[in-house]
Amino acid sequence: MKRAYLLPLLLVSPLACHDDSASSPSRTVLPMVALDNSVAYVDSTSGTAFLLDPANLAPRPRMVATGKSPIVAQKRKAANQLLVLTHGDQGSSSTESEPARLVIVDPASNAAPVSTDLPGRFDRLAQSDDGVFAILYYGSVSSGASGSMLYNPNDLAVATLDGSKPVASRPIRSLGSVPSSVTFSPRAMLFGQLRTLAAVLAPNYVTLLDLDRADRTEITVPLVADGTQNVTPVQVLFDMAGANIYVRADGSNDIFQISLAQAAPANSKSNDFRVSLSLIGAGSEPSDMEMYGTGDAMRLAVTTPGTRQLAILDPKTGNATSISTATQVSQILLFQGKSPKSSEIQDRAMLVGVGTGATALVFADLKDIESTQGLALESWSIPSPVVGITPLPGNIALLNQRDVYGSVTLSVVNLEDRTIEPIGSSGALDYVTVEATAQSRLWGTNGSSRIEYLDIVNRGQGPLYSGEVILDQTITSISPLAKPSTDGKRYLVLEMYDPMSLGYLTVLYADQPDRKEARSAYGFLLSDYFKRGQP
Amino acid sequence: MTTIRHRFLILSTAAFLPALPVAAQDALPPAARTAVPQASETEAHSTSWEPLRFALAAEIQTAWMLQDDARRLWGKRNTGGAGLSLSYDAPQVARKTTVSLDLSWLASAVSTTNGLDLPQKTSTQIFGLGLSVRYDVFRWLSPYARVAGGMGWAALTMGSPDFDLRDRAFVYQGSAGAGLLVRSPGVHLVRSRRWPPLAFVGRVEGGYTIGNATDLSLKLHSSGSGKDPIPVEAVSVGEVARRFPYLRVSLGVGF
Repeated sequence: MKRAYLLPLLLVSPLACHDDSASSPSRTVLPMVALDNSVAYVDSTSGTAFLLDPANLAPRPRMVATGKSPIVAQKRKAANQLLVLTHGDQGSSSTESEPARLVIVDPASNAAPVSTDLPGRFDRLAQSDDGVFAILYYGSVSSGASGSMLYNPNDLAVATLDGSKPVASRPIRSLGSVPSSVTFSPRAMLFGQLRTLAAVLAPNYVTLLDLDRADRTEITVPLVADGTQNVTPVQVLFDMAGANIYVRADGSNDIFQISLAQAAPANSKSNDFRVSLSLIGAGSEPSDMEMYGTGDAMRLAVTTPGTRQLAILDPKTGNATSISTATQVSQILLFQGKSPKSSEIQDRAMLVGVGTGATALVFADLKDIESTQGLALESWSIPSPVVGITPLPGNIALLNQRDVYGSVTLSVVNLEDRTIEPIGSSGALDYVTVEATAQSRLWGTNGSSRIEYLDIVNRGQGPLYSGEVILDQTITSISPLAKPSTDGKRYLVLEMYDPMSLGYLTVLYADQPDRKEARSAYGFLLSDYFKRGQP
Repeated sequence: MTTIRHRFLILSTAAFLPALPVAAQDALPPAARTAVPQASETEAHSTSWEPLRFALAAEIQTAWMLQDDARRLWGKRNTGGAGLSLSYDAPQVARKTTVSLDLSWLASAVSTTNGLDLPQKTSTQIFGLGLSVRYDVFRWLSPYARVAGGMGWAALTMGSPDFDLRDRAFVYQGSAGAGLLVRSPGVHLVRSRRWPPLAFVGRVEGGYTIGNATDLSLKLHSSGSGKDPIPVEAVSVGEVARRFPYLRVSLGVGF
């Protein structure tokens, strides 16, 4: 009787298939990174970077292995390179461990990416504006941030992105808090040497690092003396010529002035400068600050929306001059230029109440404002409150406003002429991006497949020239690339609605967008999927 | 008088349990074996061991995907297919040796959720031509060797209905295998020797298939709603090797 069952069993065997895919993990793709003339996606699950040239949306984009568990992908500042921070793999009884890495991918080169092992599994990456230095740090004290059971959240690493120096571990003193952000100074001469400083901000503390001297200890500056007050530093300005650092902190009515003074190092690990802290009272909690003037005429302009004032602080003397602004301004847009009353090029500012509900702009002539006070201010009413402001070349600013219905409207402000030109829109704009280059062009979409553009400066087709292109799918992001691609054309890269995260782009010529020239690529994150194995 | 229905039941039993009745016959002395009823024009519905010229069979095949890329394409370690085959036995080239030609069609389709959590459907349609040589160890049992070639297409669909990626690629393949053929005695259902006897024929065959690598370039399938859609580039999901061992089982009717 056993033989009688043999054939039926064979017949049934094809149906008893084992499904390999059941235990496979879901996929995570980091947000698209717009490089100078191409775009990059990083697939966290497979540890692969996909580099796409808009001029050639080939069936197989260039794929670069980044290492396991990439968690941050950024464009390297001032360079056409992709930076990827990976978490690596802690390993297990069946898999080998892999260190966390910082990977630099050059889209213009077919060479293997430059990969540097890191001393910790960091989850944050901050870069200096010149793209020379990067600081890797922990953004949380939870173990999930590092993937480790035990780690020092105040450990950080300094990487020189040009590869001239090895990655240096620079643990900072742990005083009960962890870094919240990192700010870099401009690269400038300080005490006779070219250097870049970094300010690591943490609740109640600012830590200074001399990035050019990895062997020197950090300098920790407590912002509050007795620990009874909690302040959170949020803005840092470096006055390298005057050897001062100014810190604005939430929870404080003062601006913290950290003065640097040259000093002979006590030993080989000491810095060649010392710091001292002083406070400059602003009268109320500041919301923004800007430096203007040079030398003894250097001043800090500070907005204090709580008292509706603009405070002018003299760091040399600590004197503060408060000028009523009549409206609740919270942000300063500093510029040098003329005004309708004076053709003299001088420091001026537009003060805007971003998020305060104010419906007025205040223009300030900063020269001699301490003596002229209210006479130096001029208010202009606007129809709706400002929710964002974008400075553009040519002393132009774009105001992002929200009307009573919650719709976003836009206005172009000529800072010198003090004119405000509203931009008409047939519908509410959901997503707006502005090319903050000499070719200022505004791109917007209202959550549909229609993209509209408007030239904020005259590009030969008249001021505020506008146009539109209708595409085949809902647009979810707009990325005008800065430089021409390999075919000599500059591209606008649009991410389209892509519910399965397989990669869906449409590219247009950025200078002359036309649907007839549009091309799309869908599913490129599946490239070589069957060969690569893990998605 | 035995009814046709009754004989059919006997034949079915012979097909599934071929060893028992024929082994018993082989155990008989030669004189007794000649007593096995032979078909004649005067005796309809009788059984016989006349050679069969044709066989039409339904078949199923299991293939084991040894390569990782093939497993990802199919979503499984082993895949199943089903089809039909028609075979023709040439007159015996030698005593107990028969050459046979067969035409086959084999279809397979697997729907799964792949490693990207995407619905994925893979299918193939293969049309094949086979040549086999068999040796009749017994009248009911013949081991054979078979080579075959085929061509057709492989199709892949990935994604949700509104955003599905599709492609179809030409495939060709060759295979070599060996197996066993079992048959039942034939039965004459019509009172005429012009009509051949009918018999159940079954095959079990194992072998190995080698084919061209399948290179699929998926492209967004447009629903056709747009009048002049923006061209969408295809994406190559990589070449998938087409090499696998297989087990093929068929059951049909010979005449």
